[in-house]
Amino acid sequence: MKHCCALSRVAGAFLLICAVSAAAEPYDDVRAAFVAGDLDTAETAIRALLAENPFDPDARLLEAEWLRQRGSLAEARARLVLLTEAFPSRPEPFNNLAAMAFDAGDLAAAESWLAKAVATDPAYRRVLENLDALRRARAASAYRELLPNAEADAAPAPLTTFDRFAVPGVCPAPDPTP
Amino acid sequence: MNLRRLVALLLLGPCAPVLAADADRELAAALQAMRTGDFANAELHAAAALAYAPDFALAAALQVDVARLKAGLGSRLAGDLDDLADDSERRAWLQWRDEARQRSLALRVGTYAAGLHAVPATIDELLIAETDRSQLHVVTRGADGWRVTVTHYLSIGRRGIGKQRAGDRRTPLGLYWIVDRLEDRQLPARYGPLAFPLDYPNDWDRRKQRRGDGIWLHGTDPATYARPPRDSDGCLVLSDEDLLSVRERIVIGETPVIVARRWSFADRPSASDELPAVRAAIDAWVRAWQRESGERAPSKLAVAELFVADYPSEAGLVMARFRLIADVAGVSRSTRKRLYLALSEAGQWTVVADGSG
Repeated sequence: MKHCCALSRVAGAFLLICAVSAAAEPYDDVRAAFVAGDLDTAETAIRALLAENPFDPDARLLEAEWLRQRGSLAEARARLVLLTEAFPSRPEPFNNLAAMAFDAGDLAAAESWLAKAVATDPAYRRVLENLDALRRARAASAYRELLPNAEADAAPAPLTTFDRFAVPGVCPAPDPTP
Repeated sequence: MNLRRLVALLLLGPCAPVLAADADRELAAALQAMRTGDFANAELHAAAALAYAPDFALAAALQVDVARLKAGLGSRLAGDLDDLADDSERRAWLQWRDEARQRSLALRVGTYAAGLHAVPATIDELLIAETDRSQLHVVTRGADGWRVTVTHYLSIGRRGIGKQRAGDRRTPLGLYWIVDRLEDRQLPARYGPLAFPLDYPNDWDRRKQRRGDGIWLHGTDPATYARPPRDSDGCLVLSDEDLLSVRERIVIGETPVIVARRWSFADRPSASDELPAVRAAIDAWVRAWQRESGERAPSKLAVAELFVADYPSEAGLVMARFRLIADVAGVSRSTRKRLYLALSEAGQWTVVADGSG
């Protein structure tokens, strides 16, 4: 899926910025591994985080991202759904589910997940940006179908994901570590 | 020019030329922006199209569609019409959808027209209508061939092409000449400021039992910038501005109008391989015509101002039009002749129909 590479690039850039700007974060090893495309190291770091605190929601978000990057999409989606149930008032897992649906080309599902993310916090900037990007993508899709003979053009911008919660929280029940 | 347009152009600046092509170009840019989901540029270009042509219904429809998509609603132009109870509104959106599709087709500007085997020096420009593409091309003589210099959006008959009888609301396919020019005061408002009648039906049409008449190239109603792709009673319809830009290129009785579903264009000019053989068949027909003239047979015959082109939508058929100059008893007479020549299976060109004018 063409969105996937672009999304990875954006996520990578985001993670790199986080890694540079927050050197003291305990999640740096995971982010650095994602940036390097080293999923084995990422797995080891995530295991360490979850061994230290199985209730760490940020580690669970990273775990879902690791599963997504590994190609275990159903598992990644299941982890994120669990997080939406654990944190129904937080937009991050809804947003990331939207990004996964977007990457899969299911724009209707992406809009549905984003609507839930917006419902949790109507002023959350990145979610609103993603909603705007999604609507652009839906428009582009509709008009490419409408105007199939027009000249070629660039793919729409991907959605961005969260790798941590903005507000600290605790997972109610740990899931099996990867 | 109405007041709204004048104000719009003043706002756009004194350098903005009053050309319909500007509105069309802005609309095409807005549609292209929508293909990348670029709402801001789509809005900008749609607004500019409306500034140039305030009655450009498709540009206004596009603005509505952009607003809907930004709000998370479905695209009307792309077919999200289920919640519309009003049939006329549904019909309007479907027509705008068709117009958007046709307007998004690539233009032919800069390419060379094929199928023109001989064009007399008296003609420097001709018109080629491609009905499948809703485009009318102005084709201009150049040093190395016949090149499209401008393409206009075109509307044709409500029931499409293939005119057979009067009132069938179809546009004929064929090779015609503009034979008259009707001015504003002679015309009902719906024809716009000018109309150019074509010589449909020609001899080939009559041979094919095609009836009806009154096929014109004309403009639009004053309240409408452009009509849907299929909307006329069989005529070729341009926006008023496009028609006015074309009018100076038209010479009554001389300017050919090729009406084809699609015409062949190429990036490079090509020489006609068929002309020598077609010319030989024309000369043979002229000699036969001389023999059949009997006592009044001319002492001298010459073919001048020869035009030969492929006949639209008829494989292996060309049409020739020329001036036959005959000296009879010391008096020179000139008549227009038309020949329709078909290519036989043996590779010979044969005259299959003829006429005058």
